Amino acid sequence: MRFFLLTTAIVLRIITDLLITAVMPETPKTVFYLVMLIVSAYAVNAGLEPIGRLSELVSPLVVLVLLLSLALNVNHLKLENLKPVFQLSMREDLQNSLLPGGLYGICIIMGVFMAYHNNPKDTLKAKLGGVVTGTLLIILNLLMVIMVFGVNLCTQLQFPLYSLAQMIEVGDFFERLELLVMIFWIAAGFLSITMLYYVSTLGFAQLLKLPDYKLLTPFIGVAVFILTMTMFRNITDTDALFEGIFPYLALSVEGGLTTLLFFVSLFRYGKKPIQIKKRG
Amino acid sequence: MRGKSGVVFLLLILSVILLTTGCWNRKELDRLAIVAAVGIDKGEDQKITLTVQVIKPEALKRPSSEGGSGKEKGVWIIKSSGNTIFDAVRNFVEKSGRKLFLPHTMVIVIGEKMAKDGVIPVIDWFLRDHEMRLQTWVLVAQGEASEVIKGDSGLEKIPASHLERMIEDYGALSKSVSSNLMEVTNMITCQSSHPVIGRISKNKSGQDDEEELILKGAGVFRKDRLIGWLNPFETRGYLWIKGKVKSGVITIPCPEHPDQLISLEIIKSKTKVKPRLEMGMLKYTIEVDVNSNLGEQMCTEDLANPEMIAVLEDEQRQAVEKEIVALIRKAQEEYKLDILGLGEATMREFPKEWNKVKEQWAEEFPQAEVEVKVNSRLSLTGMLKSLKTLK
Amino acid sequence: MEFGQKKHQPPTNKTKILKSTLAESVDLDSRLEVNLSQIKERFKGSVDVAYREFSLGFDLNKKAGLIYIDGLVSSEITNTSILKPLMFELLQNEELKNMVQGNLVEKIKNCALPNSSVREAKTFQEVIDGILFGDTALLLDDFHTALLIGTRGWEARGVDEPVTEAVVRGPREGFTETIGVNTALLRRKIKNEELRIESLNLGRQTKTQVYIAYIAGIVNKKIVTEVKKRLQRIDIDAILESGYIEQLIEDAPTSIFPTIGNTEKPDILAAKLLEGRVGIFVDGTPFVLTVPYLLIEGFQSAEDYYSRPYYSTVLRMIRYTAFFISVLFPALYVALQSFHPEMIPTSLLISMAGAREGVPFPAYIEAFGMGVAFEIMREAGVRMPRPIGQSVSIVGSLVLGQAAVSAGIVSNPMVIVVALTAIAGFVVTALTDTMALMRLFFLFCAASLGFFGLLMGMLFINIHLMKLRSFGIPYLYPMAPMNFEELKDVFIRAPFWTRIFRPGLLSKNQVRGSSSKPSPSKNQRNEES
Repeated sequence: MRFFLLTTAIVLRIITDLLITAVMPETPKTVFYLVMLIVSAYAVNAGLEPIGRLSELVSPLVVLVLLLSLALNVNHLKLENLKPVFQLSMREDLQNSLLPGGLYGICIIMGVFMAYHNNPKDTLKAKLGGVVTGTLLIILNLLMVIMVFGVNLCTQLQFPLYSLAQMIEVGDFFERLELLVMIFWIAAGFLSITMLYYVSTLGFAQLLKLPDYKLLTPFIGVAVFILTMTMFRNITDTDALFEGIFPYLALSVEGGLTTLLFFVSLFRYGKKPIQIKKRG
Repeated sequence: MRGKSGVVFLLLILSVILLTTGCWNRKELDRLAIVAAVGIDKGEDQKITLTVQVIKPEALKRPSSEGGSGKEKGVWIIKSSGNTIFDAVRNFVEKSGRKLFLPHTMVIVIGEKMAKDGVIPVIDWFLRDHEMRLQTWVLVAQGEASEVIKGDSGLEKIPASHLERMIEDYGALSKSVSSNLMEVTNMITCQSSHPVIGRISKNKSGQDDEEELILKGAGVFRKDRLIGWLNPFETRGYLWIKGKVKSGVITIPCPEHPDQLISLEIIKSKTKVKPRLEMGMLKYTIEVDVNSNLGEQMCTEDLANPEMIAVLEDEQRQAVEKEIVALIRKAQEEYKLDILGLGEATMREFPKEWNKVKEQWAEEFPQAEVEVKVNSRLSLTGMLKSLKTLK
Repeated sequence: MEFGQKKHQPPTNKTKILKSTLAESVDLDSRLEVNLSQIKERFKGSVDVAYREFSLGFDLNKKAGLIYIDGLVSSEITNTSILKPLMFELLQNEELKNMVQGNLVEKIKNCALPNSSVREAKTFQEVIDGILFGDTALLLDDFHTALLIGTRGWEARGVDEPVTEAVVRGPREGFTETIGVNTALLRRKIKNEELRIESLNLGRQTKTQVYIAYIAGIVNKKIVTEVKKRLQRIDIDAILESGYIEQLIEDAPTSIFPTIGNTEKPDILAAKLLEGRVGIFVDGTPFVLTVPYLLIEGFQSAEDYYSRPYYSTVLRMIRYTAFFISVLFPALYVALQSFHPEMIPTSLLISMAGAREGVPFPAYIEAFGMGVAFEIMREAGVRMPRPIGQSVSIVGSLVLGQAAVSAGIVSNPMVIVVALTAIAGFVVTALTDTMALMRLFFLFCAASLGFFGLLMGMLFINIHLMKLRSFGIPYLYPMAPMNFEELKDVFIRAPFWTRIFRPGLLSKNQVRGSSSKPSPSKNQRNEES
């Protein structure tokens, strides 16, 4: 649960950093945190169904915009930028893939949702589908960014994908579409914040054996708010976290702890088929 | 229900906060100085001077019935200086009374002195600023950038858009280079490549002492420092190698009357830089496909038959080869600088070998063996077959 | 099927009177004078109540009294179907004269009154209620029973073309203020005994007749039960228009989105009932409520179905576009020009900046002010008599707008934005009010935090919409939860032959029809070739 809380705060922080750097440098961060958390709290109290429907509505749009922003950059593509492949050794490759691995781990919150699903058997399929789509999109993104900017520049940009959106040009008139694209990313980020928020609230409510999780929402919101405010000093800290600690933390919590709990529960309940409730 | 009313309450508070204090990033259009072009110079005292063209929206309004003077200039040119670019930009407020608004900048012109001292500060500032676009054109001025910014346009009310058109249409001539912020950055940050940026200069035209802007040739940079110029001829050589020739005119002598000329219009070109390994030595082939149409002939020979076309194709091949070779010679012998992108090509094809040579590539490059291969084709002869009856 | 509290079942289920708290039900006396004076006492001071005492034709001593309300009763019906038979025909007809010696009331009811609706009443309250509803009460001396004779015949507006829902193609009739006419109009559309029309009376003072209409084989029973439950919960002194009921039974009274629809046209109502909805007629208004109401209904128009599907689809798209323009355009404009001018194409930005030069207000105040000015003009135009209304709009739009721009108080683009917004707002008529509120909300969002604020506002509204339900049906159905079969009638208007099913959440009876794609029959083709 605490892990989810932390992740909520982190995601919130990342989105706000992007916003502030790229769009509105003069607005205090607090405002963004507050507004996002309040709307998110509204969503959390609305319950799982509206959140689910919201993502049903927003995610196709996000994917569409993402694909569109990639497609409209086709004229900037340089295929040869991709070469050479596999420059690094296997070890380095693995190390570099830790971060995406850690972020994918967030998918385990779907495990929490499983209990609330109409037919839990389908969730695995949905989960796998989601992960696969996400992976494909990320790979596509990486390829595009590299193909457009080349390896050198894109490692030096703070938000390569945003710069990619900046490159879009449709028929000489629609040029600066990056904001539009970014708005959709924020929407997607908002969704993940809301889901993480929901899960942490629910988790804490279960922990405290509260009858109604909605009572907890404001408190969790305040907690996330404080965490977000105090977590990092500046953007380089965020980067450091992502390159250093987070993947290990995330993977150990997501992979290790869950597996451990699984085995513990196996041990305790014998070999009876039981429904496993995953907890972060 | 309690949670809901809480949210409503929070929203209420929030709206009060937002209404009372909320204008952090709000900017009204009439408070902005919309910049069309920026010129960056370095003075003798190492201070940076910015010259900008600020658009005057009032002057560009559609002339109303009360007859606004159509002659009024659409831009206002102001200068400001400071120790850094950011400093200089902020110092504009002293003079303009409005904050400079840069996202609509069409062209960045870098002065010669600034370019010779290094353009890293320019690139860094423009990339870091969230408002800038990566697709802003970059030019290097021969002389002072401020002179270019001050230059007037006979056609456009905003001289910057005149510059922009010039850059965008460079392809009709292929005698200069168009590069935007992103391309320049990419070439600077890439291991082996070096930027070549279009050259803009202000010349006195012959008659009435009017000055005009000319986009011709290009500046060659070693990483971020300007080290020399390419003339239009060499520039096209550069463009051939980069595969960036879109159109242009190749003039060749008539096969039988060498004093008279034939113009060929380039329709399509394609370039491949192929490195290959021969006995552990890196060798390069630059293969260029040129496809052109007959655009003009000053002589009256009948060229519209296969034999003559073949002759013309051969002459075209020679002409293109000459341009490319001239560029290669200049790069290898004069500048000793890999502006051709040979290093990059090596890195892509033979990463292992590249790792060996990349440290001493500056010494290796001038010795590299480059073979130029031009496949020349002539496809159409225009609306006319030939005017041989005039004989 | 029956509900409402009622002691005596009338022969038809037309009038069922809720127990009134105003007076205890006192049984009628046997003496005519007592009854009459009692009733006169109850109606004391009302000049429109008419009393007519007369003798039955066969016996001058046999007194009778008629009570009715002037104007509610057609005097022709009273004369020909009550007075004439009782005064003359009884006299002339010896046979009848003999017959009526037994149970006089029963006999008169069965044999002497040529009227289609005659009911017996035992208490004063029943009699008075009957009179108030436009019946004529016949009181006879020596009897405890009064007869309520259906003589309703007041002056009413005829069936007219409704102003709110004008069509180019399609029936032009609209509902009237008379509930009986309205149900008849509906019956004429759906000739099926499954069409049920149930009645109850609401409003302590007004005792307004309210009918619930649905098609038994199609409707989801749960919705009907829910509608009845909610209607019975109403306790209010007056129902003057269906809006009273709407506001008293809606799902989300705090939401700006309507969860109950209304229509003035029988064909639209019929279509909605056929999709499994429930209609609520209210006497005295041509607006019939339909529940459940979904967001998409605002974008569907009857004409979409009457004309061919292709252009209808285009029209739907236009309606959605107009909706978004109307709701978001001022906000977008403010966000773009106050927060993100870098997104505006250069040439457009220059002309916008030129227009704004010298305007004294920040963009959001300009937008807000113009919006308010427009609402004022609209309101003025609506309430004014038509000829004046036109001059109001001319003065408002042309003179004021032109003057404001040339005085430099408002910028030209803003006038364009507001005008476009206003016109677009009229395209989706069902949601016009909602759209005005949303416009304001988004304007606020955009003015405080630009695109980010706009996004948050949109997410907020979205979550709200996702939460909303109308009589158990998710408000955004069939968009979320998604139902592909029914999406055929959301963004596009699919041809009839592709739409075999009714909306599943609304109705249980799924199959609608099975016409296949139309094509000329084979024989005909052969003949031609």
